[in-house]
Amino acid sequence: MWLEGVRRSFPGEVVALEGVNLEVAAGEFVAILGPSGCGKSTLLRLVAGLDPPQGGTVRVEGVDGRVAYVFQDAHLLPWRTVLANVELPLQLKGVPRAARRQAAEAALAQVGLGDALDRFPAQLSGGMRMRASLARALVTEPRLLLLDEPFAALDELTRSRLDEELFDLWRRRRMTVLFVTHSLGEAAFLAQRVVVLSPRPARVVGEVEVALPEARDATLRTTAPFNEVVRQLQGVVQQWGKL
Amino acid sequence: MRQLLRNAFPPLVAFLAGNALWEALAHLLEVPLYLLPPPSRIAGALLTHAGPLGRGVLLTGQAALAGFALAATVGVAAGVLIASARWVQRAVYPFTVLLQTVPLVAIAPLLVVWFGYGVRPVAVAAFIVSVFPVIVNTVAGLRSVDPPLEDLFRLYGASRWARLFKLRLPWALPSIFAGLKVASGLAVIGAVVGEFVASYAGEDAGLGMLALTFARESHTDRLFAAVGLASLLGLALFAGVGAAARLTLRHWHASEQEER
Repeated sequence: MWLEGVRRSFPGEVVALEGVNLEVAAGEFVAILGPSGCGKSTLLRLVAGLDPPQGGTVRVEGVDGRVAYVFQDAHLLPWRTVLANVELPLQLKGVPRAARRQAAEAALAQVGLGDALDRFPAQLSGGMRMRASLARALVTEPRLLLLDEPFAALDELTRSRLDEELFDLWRRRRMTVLFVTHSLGEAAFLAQRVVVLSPRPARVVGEVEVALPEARDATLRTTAPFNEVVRQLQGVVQQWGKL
Repeated sequence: MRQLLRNAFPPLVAFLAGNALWEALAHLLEVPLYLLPPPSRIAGALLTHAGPLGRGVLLTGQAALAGFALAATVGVAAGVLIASARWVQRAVYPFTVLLQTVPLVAIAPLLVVWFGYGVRPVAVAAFIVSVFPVIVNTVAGLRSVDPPLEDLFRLYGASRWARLFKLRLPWALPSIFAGLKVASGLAVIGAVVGEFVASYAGEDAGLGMLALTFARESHTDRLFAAVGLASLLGLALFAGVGAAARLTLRHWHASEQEER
């Protein structure tokens, strides 16, 4: 199972992506780092099949349609409870009630929302809503998880916590993850490999292998190797100006 | 209970005070009864003509309710159709605006030609004036669906129907209810105006026909009673829609969340 996005451009009124080459192996955690509005989201939407490429090819193989997408904001259905929201993807795929309920409860327990099943999104904090959104993505047991600046709207503390939990999830499940962010620290903390994009039209301008230990927790952020990765990323980014 | 008391008390006091003032002024200034009867006379007329007025409330209420129900059903269905594709919207929308601009009193005779006299043409009149806000608000609600959620449903391979019933209609519900609230008041107005032309007289007269008759006879007190009852009817229908909206939306929509 692997994903290969060979070369694609996406010209609308503005060219968002120009000749982007990217190859991602199965089970890899890749962060895509780039300035705001550089076409990172466009890239994810192409990979998800939500938009067609207007040049080049996008090939996603071996995921069997099991692709999940997490947006910048939670985007839950406000009229459904947390549990019913997480059941939604399975419901749309026609999974029987009992089975989807069980899967949803498990996914919610995984993101630490096991005791908020019957609350409505309006009754949750921003962080909890994002957890529910993450659970909704996980419930389908995706082979490919696409995250579009998922924690960007949260406060620093909540964001770090969720980064740690996401990393744990990935380490246990080993799905392929594409994580779009504009935070150097977040990219360094989570990914095995960071792909840096240029400002619009986006091109891949650099790649940094993150050689950090397999087990990562909050303490990693203060270690020398971590700072070295961030510094390296800073170098690539500075070459291309504005972030 | 205390909440109810707190909400009901101020308007009740204002109502009583307003009536007392009206009563006093009517006597002090010796206003002719046919111009502006005091509240006591109107209450009297309400009692002496309880029979025909009660029957009128029933008939008008029935027609308004039927017209409103029809407007709700047809309005939402038309809204879904119009919002389904741009070309449908472009083709149909201009004509729905005609519903809004057609002078009801002018076409009421036509309704009599088509439906005869009685509840049916009156219900159709109520329908004609109340369907437009339902259509407009349904379309607006369906058009406002959060784009990422549309993407999500697409990503999970949701069918057209699943998208309609699990995403778009629920999303449009607050907007639809706003349309229904406007429509509820209009339905009663439409019924009363329809009755000016299409109601039976005598035994089976609706409030509109009664009002017309009382006006011709210069029984202004009875006229006020009929008008007051018609307003109450609109209020009741509005309250019914409001209660339904509250029940449906209270968990998730800001418009119906309880005040703290």
